[in-house]
Amino acid sequence: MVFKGIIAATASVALMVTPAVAAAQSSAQAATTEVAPAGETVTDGSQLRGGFIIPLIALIAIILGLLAATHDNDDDLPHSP
Amino acid sequence: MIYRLVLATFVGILLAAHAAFGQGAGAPSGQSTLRQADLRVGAVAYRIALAGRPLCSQPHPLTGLLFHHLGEYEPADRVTMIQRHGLDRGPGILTVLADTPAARAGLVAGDVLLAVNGKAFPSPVTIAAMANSDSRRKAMEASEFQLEDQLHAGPARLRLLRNGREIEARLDSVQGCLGRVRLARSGQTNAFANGRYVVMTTSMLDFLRGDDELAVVLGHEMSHNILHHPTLLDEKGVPKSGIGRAFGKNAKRVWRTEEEADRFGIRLMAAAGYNVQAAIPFWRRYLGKYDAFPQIFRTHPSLSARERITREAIAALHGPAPRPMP
Repeated sequence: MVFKGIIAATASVALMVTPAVAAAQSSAQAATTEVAPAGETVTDGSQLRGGFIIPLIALIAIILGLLAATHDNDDDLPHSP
Repeated sequence: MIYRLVLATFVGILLAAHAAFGQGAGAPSGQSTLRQADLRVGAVAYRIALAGRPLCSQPHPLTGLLFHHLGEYEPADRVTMIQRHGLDRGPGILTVLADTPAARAGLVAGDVLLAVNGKAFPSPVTIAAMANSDSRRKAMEASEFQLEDQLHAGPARLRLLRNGREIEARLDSVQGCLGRVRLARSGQTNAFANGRYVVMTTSMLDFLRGDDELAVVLGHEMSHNILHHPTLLDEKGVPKSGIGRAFGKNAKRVWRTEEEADRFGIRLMAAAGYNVQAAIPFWRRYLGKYDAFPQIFRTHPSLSARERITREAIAALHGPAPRPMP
């Protein structure tokens, strides 16, 4: 009988304490969760490295130039009937 | 046929360039823990700015404080930041670096600045409500400049909010080089200098291996601000961004500032006791991944040029002491 009483008392204490501990943990967790600043795209000022647009345009121009130089325009040739 | 070939070539180059140089703004920024990362960036910048003082002709008041502002957060997070940190009352102290005037003044992370020498700071709520992000950023910076302006004249009397109570403190500063820095949460693997601040991105920070490499990047970007490069380029009519920056004389002008910042950055990091030998491996790894084009039509030195500049700058460290830059 005494044993049953101890079990019941322990169980009731555990039931009372668990939600309180869980709530405390949850609130502590919430309090320590970092909120990050908003993401952003930085645009102005000196940059550590240059962009690739200008070299890319230069490369395209070179390729176009090579293609134009090597292109054999068939339209200018006489056609046999 | 020829046009299809040209189109295919163009698309192919674009795709290859995107793959090689990608990392747009929306890319993941890695696993940086922002607060610890802010502390790390701030500490290295402070050390460089303090040790570089003999090299800089214009002194700048250093306190060892890093701030955060209500307007930096997403609108959905602002209520939390008001409840948790009181950021609706003034600029919040994000970090107090150890062994600095701010630490000696007893300031602690979490304090909120209410007024300096009796003058209140602009309302963070009003600043946060600004729709234009550039205007918002400049208004937040102006709050920090308000404190610096007072420190130029000597120790400042601060009214602070701490744990819901208003308290007073007296903040002094030490003189160093211009060393303002902030960490932007961005997927751009790059760093920037706008004349006022060095802006390090979280993606750039994630790329770096150790504080020596961080000092290479911060030393370079701080040099731009110390040497007034953004202002000088503005005065010459060089656009702040865009394709016009990279043509003709503009490209050469930008190139010269980059070379100068590379050289001065090495001197700054050496003065602060960082390992200058970290610079060349860093440039190889960084430019090898993000900027592998050869030295044609460029605003920035290529990898080979940067290696040469860095070697010369390191060799020059053992020469006669250079004069402070004008």
